[in-house]
Formats: sequence, structure tokens, C-alpha cells
Amino acid sequence: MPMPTSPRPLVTVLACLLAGAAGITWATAAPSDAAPRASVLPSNLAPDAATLAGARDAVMPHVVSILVVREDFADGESKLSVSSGSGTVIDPQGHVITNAHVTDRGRSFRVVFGDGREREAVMVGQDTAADIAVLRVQGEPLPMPHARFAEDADLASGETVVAMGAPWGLSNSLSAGVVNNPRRLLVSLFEDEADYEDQLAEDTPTGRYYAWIQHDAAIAPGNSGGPLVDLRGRIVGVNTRGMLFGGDLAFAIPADDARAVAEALIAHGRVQRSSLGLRLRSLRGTGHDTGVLVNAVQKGGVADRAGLRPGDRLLRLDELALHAPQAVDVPAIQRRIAELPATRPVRLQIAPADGGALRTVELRPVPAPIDRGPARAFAPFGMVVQTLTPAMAERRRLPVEGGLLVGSLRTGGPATTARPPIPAGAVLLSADGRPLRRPADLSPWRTPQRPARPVVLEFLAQGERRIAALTPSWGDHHREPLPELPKAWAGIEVQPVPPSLATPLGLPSAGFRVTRLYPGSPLASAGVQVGDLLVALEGEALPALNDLRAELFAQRVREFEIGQRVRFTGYRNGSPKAWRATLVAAPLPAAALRSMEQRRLRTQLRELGFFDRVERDLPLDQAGVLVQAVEPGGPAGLAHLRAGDVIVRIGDRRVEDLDSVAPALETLADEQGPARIPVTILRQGEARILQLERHWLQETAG
Amino acid sequence: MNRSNALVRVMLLMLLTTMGGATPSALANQTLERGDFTATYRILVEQRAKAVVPVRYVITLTAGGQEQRNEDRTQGVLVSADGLVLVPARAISLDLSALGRAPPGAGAEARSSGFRVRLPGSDEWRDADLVTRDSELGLAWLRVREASGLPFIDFNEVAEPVPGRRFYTLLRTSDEWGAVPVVRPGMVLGETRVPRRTLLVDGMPGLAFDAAGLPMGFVDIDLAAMSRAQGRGLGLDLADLVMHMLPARRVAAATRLAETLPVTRLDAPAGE
Repeated sequence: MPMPTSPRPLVTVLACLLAGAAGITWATAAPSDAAPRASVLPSNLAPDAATLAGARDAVMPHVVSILVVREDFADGESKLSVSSGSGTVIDPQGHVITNAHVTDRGRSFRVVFGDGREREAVMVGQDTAADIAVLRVQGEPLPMPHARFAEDADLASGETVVAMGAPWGLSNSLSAGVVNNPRRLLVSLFEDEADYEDQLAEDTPTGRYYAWIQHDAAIAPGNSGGPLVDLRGRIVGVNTRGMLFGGDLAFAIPADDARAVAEALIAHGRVQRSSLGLRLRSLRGTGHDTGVLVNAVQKGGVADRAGLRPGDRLLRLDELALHAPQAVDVPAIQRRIAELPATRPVRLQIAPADGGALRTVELRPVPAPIDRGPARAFAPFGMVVQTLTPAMAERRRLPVEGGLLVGSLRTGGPATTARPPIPAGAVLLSADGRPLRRPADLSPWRTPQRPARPVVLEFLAQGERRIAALTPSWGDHHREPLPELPKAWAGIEVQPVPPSLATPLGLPSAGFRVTRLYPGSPLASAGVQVGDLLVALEGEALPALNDLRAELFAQRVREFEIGQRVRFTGYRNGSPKAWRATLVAAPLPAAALRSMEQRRLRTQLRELGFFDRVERDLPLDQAGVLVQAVEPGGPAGLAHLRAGDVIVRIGDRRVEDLDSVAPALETLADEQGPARIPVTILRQGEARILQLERHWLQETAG
Repeated sequence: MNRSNALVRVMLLMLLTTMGGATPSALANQTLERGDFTATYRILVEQRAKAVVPVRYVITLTAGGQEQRNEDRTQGVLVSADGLVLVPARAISLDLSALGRAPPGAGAEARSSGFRVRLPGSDEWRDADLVTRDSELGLAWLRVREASGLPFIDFNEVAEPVPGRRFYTLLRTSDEWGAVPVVRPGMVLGETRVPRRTLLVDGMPGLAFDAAGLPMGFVDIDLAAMSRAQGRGLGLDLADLVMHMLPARRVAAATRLAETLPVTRLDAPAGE
């Protein structure tokens, strides 16, 4: 097979190993010819069963599946879903190491042990730059048994490793393979390494500080955060990424990097890094053989102020000689700089780009900027907002250092109907004169105000500081259907029988054959039966144009008025018949019924209509509301409510209609009571009880 | 025809009308026979035009999660003394995917709100609310808030549209052209019962009258059918490129029902 020639960035063929509720969260696809070639040693060192079992028993009991209720944002609103990953208990306090992309945007965590024990877990800290997070298991006796990191994981290509975790959510899974390359940077031979960071997720530049362990133990979505284990039963890596194409290529964060980050998270809840305001690349292609190349200098940053320029080479950092002949050598230097204490000056020996004499400068590192600010959906404004960090502002070349970055917008919501509308990508600077820096700054507008008063928002868009008047809205968003004039109805379903079909069917005429009689049908009252053939209405032939257009019958009926008495003629068993019926108002179709987004339940609900009741064989006066859609990670989704269910009771309260849902939920959520609230639904002809978790109702209140 | 002849004719018509010696219908027929519509024009403008009112609204186009709002206008016809206004249903909402303007399932929809009507003899735009619509008939009704004693088109007596008959659509120009009434003649070209009963006409969308000023029907464009009829290649089969007229008796029946209904306030968040 020829070497690939595509310059397509390697990162585009990688995907995180997070199993989503729908099963697949692989981010992107790419042709297999974009896959890199690693020098893989043939593994003829297959471990014996006892060795493999020893490694398994040392770690597997401490491996957990992690279930995450995750909050994503789309269309100006938050969407709750359920996803899963893997993790490992790493100390007696019950700390679990996993990937940050497993826990990212998590609202709730549960861990499931191999023996089926399920426990709540709480977030200790997550570091998106390293893609490492730490949770702590709740409700387990301490000290907890745990797995151990390798102290000296000096992995070599060809060494056998074992991946453990829950691929596709299948817990207690284990696969074995070999290390392909213990120091892999995800840069192909055909791309510029300087572009590497640019290709990382815009506000989560994971992978800046380490090279990966590339191995071929089979992993899949759901393995994310699970351990990579050597044959001595030690954690040598944290499985993080897989390859979409090109065979079993997997990538793990080296144990020493993962452990250092985890320890910082456990100690401080976050990882503090330093910055010199420069970007580095290897010497590859430069003709130089010492140092590391300065690739870019942040304008106004520490390095810039010290006179460093792109093209300079760094030779020494204090007493440490810097040497990066290849791209894979750069992350360790980045990490070294990031670990510098921000309080102490450092000396850099520099070889200037112009070939001048070596010089040494003294710099004082500054805390690295926070890559990404927290995001939140703010329903009263119909928008998703995110704290704009200086790093985000710089990447977007925005002339401000703070504010709330507007993400997606709810269609038809307050932001899109503000005057003028506020566009996605704008930065909110103030509201009614109060500066906006964090989503919490919007809290004065969270509670309803009657009457709703416009808020004056100052925002930055397309380089201009503009103002807009936005009228907030609160509560569930009802969708009122457009009214429709009532129509006359005969109360039947028909099958068109065109002339060309009447003969082969042995029917005496073309027309419409009755296939269903609805309860309360005027024609049923007039004596029409299923199988009768209707051929004329008020003496005028009913045209059946083809085999499919049954609506022509209903259209003809609708030309008459409600309450009008009309005469149908037709045939029963080949004999002519006539029926007189008084037309009634047609029941409302689904499109004409009211619906609402119920924010506490995270569902879309609709009024129960005539046809819903008939379809489900329910009494025509059956009360309740129809579930149209359910967010998988919302309270209703977690209670296993489904589209098509009819809710008839929540707790001890009857659900009569749409308007009775919110009051019932508000009361129950605010009450102190059992952890679970029974919800009675009708599904497939049966009444069933589902259990709503009260704390979830309280969680979704805001 | 020179100006003096026209003036004489108009004066003669006025004289005959005031003498009570001829009905408007007879007068109109006399002039129509000579291809002269001045009498019809006068009847419509003097007796009916005050009921033709401009309607403004905000149309919100939603497609692919994006939203665009524009101000639009249409012709309305007062059909009751207390402010019921007949407008085409397409001014209320339109499913653009049915017109081939968006892929099926894309959810492209235009929906209107913020209706305002300028009543005769006033320069004030009055708020109006949607009462109901009949998407199958292509009609909708607004109600002007706190209105009474207005001139309106009475459907108690209507003209029957039959193929070959002329009709006159009464419209009002925009302010740019003085908001004056204009009369556009049209003709009933044919009728069909498939796929629905309708009269095929040429002319202008709006409420159509016969020469004597009796409402004959509501003329409109079937946008979906028009969209389907276009682009049929070089055969240039243009027979479907016609407008449709809903007979006035059906407009009247629907209006009688609409009159009984309350107004609808759309898209109000709960509790507001």
C-alpha cells in the first residue's frame, strides 16, 4: 500500500471515545488514506494467560463506567442528554480519574462498578487542556481499594498493554494490544506542526502538553477515561482517543502526565499553568540543531516585552538545556514552561533569528489565560451566553477583554426579536448599564417581572458597540397553533376507488369506499358501514382521481356547512343505497392543537386531541397531555418517559390539560417528600407508573 | 374617446341615476356593451372603495433555525361595521416548503404578527388581531380593536360567478401613489371540480365585484399550484397559470362563521 499523500490534518480523523446516548459520538470521518503510518513492531511476545489475568485483577475491580447527564446548548437553550465513559479509582479517598471530555458539561455523575454497584459521584476538578478530570465516589466505605499508576512507565514499542473500560457502554470489557509508539504527536508527515494547535478544538486546546501513547488494543466510544494497563497491573495511560479508519489505533495520555494533573485537581480543584506568551515549534527543517524555535510571540505578552521575536531559538531555560529536533519533543518543553511558578523570574538563553550573539533575558511568567469560560442557557433572553475570557477574546481578535459571548439563539425568542436583533457571536457588555462579565450577572432578569420591561443591552458586533431593547420572557413557551375555521365533517375514512380500479375490484361504480367509522360519525349514525361505496353527494358525483387521494372526499364534504343535512348515495354489496346525514364540525387535527415546551420536565407536550384518543382506544373525554418529545437527559427522559405517552397524573395530581402540568410540577418540586414522584402514563393500552426524581425537577427549575 | 365625450357620458349616467330611471346594474350593462367601464368604476369607487383598507404586518420567516423579520402589506376588505377585515390567508402564514422554496422537512415557514389597519378617512394605523383563517379557502379574518360604525361590504346579496363573466377587483394603491382606489377588470375563464371546486380566472387578487358592485368572489393566487406549474420545460403548457376565485356565497358563509369567533393572541409565553 502506498504511503498516503493527503495533507489532511491528522486530528480530523480522530474522535473522542465518549459514548453518547444515541450510541455514536464520533466527531468526524475522513478517508483512510489520511491515516498516518506508525512503525509497529510485530508482537510475538504474546503474554501468557496468567500474566494477563494478573494485570486484569490488579486494575479491573477499580474500573468504573461513568454515566453523565450532560448539558449541551443548541438553539439558545440547554439540552440534557445521557452519555457514558470510563474511569479508574486511583486512591483510598475514592477519587476517579477520567477524561475531561467525559465530564465536560456534566450536570450529574454516577459510577457503576464491575459488580453492578452504582454510586453518585461529584466533580472534583477538570482540566480541559490536559483532558483529565477527577470525580469522587460517594457512599462507599473508606479507604477504598484502588488501582496504581506506574512509577516508571518506560514503555517501548511492541510492549503488551491492556485497555479496560466500557466500550459502547458495555462494562467490564478488556482488550489487549501492543504499544505502537510511546511518544506520538498527532501531526502527520505532511502537515506543518505549527498548525497543530490551531487544529485543536478552538477553546479547549487538549494535547498541548504531552505526546500520546499510540497502541492497538481495541477501544471504542465509551472507553474514554479508562485505563491503559501494562502486564504488571499498573496504569500506564488514560485512553482518550481512537481512530475512525485505519485499524485499531488508539491514543492514551501517558500516566505521569495524567497523574500530575489528577493530583493538582485533587489538591486545588484546578491546574494553574504559567505562560511566557510565545508558541514553540521544533527545529525540523530549520537547519539548526540546538534549541527550540520560537514560532509566534503574543503581542504585548511577556516574551514580546522582553524583545523575543519569531525565529529566535530558546537554548536554555534557567539551567535546563532546551532541545527539540522533532515535533514530538515540543510538548514536554511546553509543559515545563507551563509548570513554572508565576512568582519567580526565569532566565532564557536566546539565539536571535538574525544570527546575532547569544543573549540571556530574564522573564517573569504570568498565569496562563483560562482557555474557556463557563456557558449557560439564559431562557428569559432566549440565548446561550459564555464568559468571554481574555484568551477567547484574543483568538477572536475582539477589542474587549470580557463580556458574555452570545452563542446560539432561540428562534423567535427575545434575542432574535429584540430591536435590533442580537446576533450570535455578539459580546454582551452591559444590561441596563450594569456590566456583564459572567452568566450570573444576568440573575436580576431570571425572575419574572410583570409587566415585562425591555432591557437595554449594550453589545459588540462586527466591531461596533451597539445597543438594543430586549423584552425578556419567562415560563414555559407555549406554541399556539394558528386558528382555523371549523370545517364540516362526515366522520369516516375512505379509500378512493377510481374507475380503473372499480372493475377489477368488482365494484359497481367508482367512488370512495368506507374504511373506518369514527365515534360520533354522522354517516355512522345514518347507517353507513365499513365497505359501503359512496359515489355521490347531493346528487353530484364524488371524483376519485386515483388510488391514493382520499382527501378529495373530505374536500367535497367541506364545501358544505356545519349543521347542513346532506344526501350521500352509493352501494352496499352492489345494491344502491342512500343516506342522509347532518354534517358536524371536524375534530381538530394535531397541527391545530396547542403545545408547549415544559422546561422542568424537559419535554414537548401537546393537548390530547380526538384522533389521539381514537388511536389509543381511549374514552373521548379522556383527560391528559400527549408527550411529543423528550430530552434524554432531562427529568422525564431519566424517568423513561417516551414520545407518544399520555401523562394522566403527576404525584397525586390529575393532569387535565396543558395548563395543569406546570402547577403540579412546581408544587411537587418545591415540596419536601419522597425522592421519587410517581407519574401515571398511558402507553400501548396500559396504565403504567414511572418514577420522576424530585431532585432533577429542582435542578431544572433554573 | 375625447374628454368632452367622456364627461357627457358621466353626466348622463349621473342624471339617469338621480332620476331613478335605471338601476346601477342596468347602467353598468349599458356602458359595458360599449366597452366603457366608467360607470362601473364610479359605482365601485363611490359605493365600495371605503371598505378596501390597507393592512400592515410583520412577517417572520423561519428557516433552518434562522429567523428574518420584515414588514409587509396586503389589501384588506372590511366585512362588518365593527371592524372584521377579510385578508388573504397567505398574509397570515405560508409553508414555504410547499412552494418548493425550501426542502421538505426544512420547516421553512412565514408567519405574521403585529397587524395594523388604516381605516377609511383616517391616517392612523389601528391595531388588529387575528380572528381565524381558513387555509383551504385561502381566507383569513382580522378584527380591528375598538371599531364600530365602519363602512363594509355586505354579502347578503352576491353575484354568481360563471365562466365568461367579467368581474372587477377593487384595490387601493400604496401611499406612494396616494392610497387611491383602482379597479382591475378580470374574467372568469373556466371552472373545475378537480381537485377541488374552483373558478379559474385572470385578473388581480382581491375581492371581486360584478359591474353593479355586488361581490362576486375572492380572487387569489394558488401559490403552491403556481409553483408547480412553472418550470415545465419548453412545451410552454401554461393552462394552469391562472388565478382562482372563491364564489362570494362561500366567502359569505365562512365570514358568518368567523364573525362569531373571538380573536386569537399568538405565541404569548405562559403567564404573560
